[in-house]
Amino acid sequence: MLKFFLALRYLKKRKIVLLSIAAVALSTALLVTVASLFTAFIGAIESSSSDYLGDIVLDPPAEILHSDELVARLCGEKEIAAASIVLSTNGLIHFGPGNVKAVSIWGIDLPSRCKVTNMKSNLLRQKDLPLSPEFANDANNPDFIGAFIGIGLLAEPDVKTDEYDLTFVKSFIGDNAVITVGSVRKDTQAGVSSVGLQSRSARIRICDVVYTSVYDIDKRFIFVPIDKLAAVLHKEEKPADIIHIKCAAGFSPRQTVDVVRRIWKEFASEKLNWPPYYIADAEIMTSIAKQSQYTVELRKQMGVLLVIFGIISAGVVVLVFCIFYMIVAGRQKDLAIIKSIGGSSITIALIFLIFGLFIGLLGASAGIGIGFAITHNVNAIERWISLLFGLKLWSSSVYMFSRIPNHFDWYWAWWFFGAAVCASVLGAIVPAIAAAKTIPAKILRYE
Amino acid sequence: MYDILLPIKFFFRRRITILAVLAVALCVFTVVVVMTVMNGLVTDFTDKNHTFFSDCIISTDSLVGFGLYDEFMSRLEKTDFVASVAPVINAFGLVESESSGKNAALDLMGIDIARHIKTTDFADSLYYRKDTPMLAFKPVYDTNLPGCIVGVDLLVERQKSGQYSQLSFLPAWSYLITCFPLTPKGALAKTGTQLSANSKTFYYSDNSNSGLAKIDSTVVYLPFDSLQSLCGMDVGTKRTNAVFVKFKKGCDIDVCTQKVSGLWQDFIKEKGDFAFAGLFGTISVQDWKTYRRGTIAPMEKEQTMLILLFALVGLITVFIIFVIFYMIINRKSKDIGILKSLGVSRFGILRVFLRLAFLIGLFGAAVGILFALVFLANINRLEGWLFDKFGFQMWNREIYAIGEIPHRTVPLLLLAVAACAVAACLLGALLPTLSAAGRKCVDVLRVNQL
Repeated sequence: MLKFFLALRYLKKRKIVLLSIAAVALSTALLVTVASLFTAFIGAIESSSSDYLGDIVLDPPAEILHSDELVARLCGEKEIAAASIVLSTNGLIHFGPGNVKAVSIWGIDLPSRCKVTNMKSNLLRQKDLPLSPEFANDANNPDFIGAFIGIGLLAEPDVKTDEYDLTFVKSFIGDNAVITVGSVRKDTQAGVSSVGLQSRSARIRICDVVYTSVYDIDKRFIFVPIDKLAAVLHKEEKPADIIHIKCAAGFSPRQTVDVVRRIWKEFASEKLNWPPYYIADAEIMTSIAKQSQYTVELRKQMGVLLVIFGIISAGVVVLVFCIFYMIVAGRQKDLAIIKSIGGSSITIALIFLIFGLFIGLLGASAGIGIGFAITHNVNAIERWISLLFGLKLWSSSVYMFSRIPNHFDWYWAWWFFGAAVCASVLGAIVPAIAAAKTIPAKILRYE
Repeated sequence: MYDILLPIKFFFRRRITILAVLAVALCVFTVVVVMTVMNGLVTDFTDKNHTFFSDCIISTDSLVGFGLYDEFMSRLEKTDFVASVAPVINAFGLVESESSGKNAALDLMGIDIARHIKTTDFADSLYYRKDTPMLAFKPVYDTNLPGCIVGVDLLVERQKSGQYSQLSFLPAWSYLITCFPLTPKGALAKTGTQLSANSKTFYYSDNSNSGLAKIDSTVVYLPFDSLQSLCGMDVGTKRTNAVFVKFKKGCDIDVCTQKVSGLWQDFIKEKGDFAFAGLFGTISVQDWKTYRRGTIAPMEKEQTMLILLFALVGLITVFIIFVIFYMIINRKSKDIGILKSLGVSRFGILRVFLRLAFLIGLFGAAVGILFALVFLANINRLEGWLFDKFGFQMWNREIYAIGEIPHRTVPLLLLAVAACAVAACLLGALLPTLSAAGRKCVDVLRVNQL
């Protein structure tokens, strides 16, 4: 009891102790905030990948025909909730005078895509409508292809606020544009067939705007019905070059990849007559794994940054050591009295170790509190800095997302909490030993 | 004399000062290493932007471009501060490989090679035609074919070491390149009632490694005239959408950019009755840094953020110094009392302890900088060793367009960090020193205090 009482008393009476608490809190807050912002950013990349590509991506080495049958086979498995085909190509789009952009064009099957991804919630016009979204056709111009256009193709976010003018963007809905895509042309002349490339153009009608909050997608993609794109590209039957798959509830994408691989092998050998080496060339992986090349790098950068800050933060050990040493030096008489009335060396050492523990607990708790507050309000802080200093720190065109991902990482928080407490106790060890070695006869003698 | 001898004595006699020196040295070491690397990356990136985009750029974002550029270029060439000028067309195009059938929508850059290599360091970025850049658009396998230069990351794989796996011979690859031809009013040129896009086959003649990742992975370079024709910019008055300007050596870029801007304003006033004078309205004259601020600014902001974070962490060092001085002064209270009783003023006491803080800051900074210099000198060797032994690379060279880790230190940075370290020590020592100076010798030296 005496140990706790004295530790608490030192904590309350010695103002310098506040300094060590502040240092522990500062270090913990910094490390927790850096770790949280990094992991939140990595998490945002992974989750946006799932939102946009589904849980699993099947990317065959070449276009596949009879894709409807592959989708039916996939959906027949209990592990798979839905699958959607995509026909992708690149092209140019002409919106109006002088306004030409390079685009990636995806031909999609809208109903199945809405099941695999959260496409509907990304559509500015149709997201709040009770009906399923559709590529509305223009009765007056049946040749015009209905298209969803990425918001970044229509406008740039405001330089100061990084937000789009949604009213302005919505005004494009109903406008026409022209796309041009590359297509393989097959000629037969005098019995000799040849294959060549040609560009083909088509008129499109903007029937909705896609706003995913992922800049690279919003800036680059347009979506059209898959059959219309196939017609523009002169494709036969219903081809697809990517399949996006959504796992059923309760099944993880990692487990389901094997199921997809099995079905793909069966389908490719039975329906496409592809040789085994070509079938194996298909890339089947979870959408999260697809981003791993970048997320691994980000995790590495986070690790390096945490090590650097961690090394400097290790100064906390020195700080606690100095403060405790000072307290021990100043409290020699008290310690000698405790010893003279029967307190053991271990009791004396424990007083300071508990004291260190208190400092660690208080500092680390405060640090986590500060870290949580900063992470949670990082967008408001960024806005505030932007307003006050005119310094726009976050821009979706640089960091992909329109908002700073601000998920607080409790895993790292607990690690740093533990590390901070350990550092405080570690800093207290040498002073505690010095205190335990106090000899009452030397300290309390008259001279 | 005492105020010189005492700090030195305290510094060498008190073991606790070693702790303070180490804390400062550790902080200085980390800051110097991180800031040197970061500074090197930013400087390298800005330099590459400068050499790629020349000193001053007259440009418009509109793909329609502007006319009479050749006339203005002639005027610029006659001035005493312009070394060379080069017209550039920036456009989008659909590039289809005729061997693989794959296509990609890419940025196209039309350059007049003769002018461009005088105005920028483009020649240094070439691989096959580095020594004969004038022939860059002539494929070595058939110099009569129209050539195209492709951004290195579009064609050549990068090894983990950061080196590109360049082929020893130039493969005869061909690309069908398609563009939307635009009229001076920006409308899509039509052939009768049909929509039309212009296409032409180009042959791979070289690749360009500018060191700017976004450019090397998205840009295909075509001869200026060819792209002008593909984009319909050769119909009527010929158009371009940028002119790069290089100033003569020794000319101040800001001043000369202002002069070019002035000349441009005079030019458009003079050409007010030109049929498409309206196209001049969107044109801006900027120095290279302003022109590229969208890409350079984020890196500079990250650098600023890192400095701020280090400033926060550096606070802990200030705390450590504060506590150590608090300890030293508590231990030396009798000495302070004796000094004061001998007539030393408050200012004298302040001088003793602030000089001690200065010594700690100076030594800490010196030790930190010394270790940082040794570490930086070996940083690439260390990374190579880590990569060989453990497969660890600070930056994956397959992803990042970084060669070796920057390790050249900037004397100004070292001086700034050392000054900050000394200032942090003085700051940390200030409060305890003030309290020491305020002590009264009668209080400190009275019997019950002994």
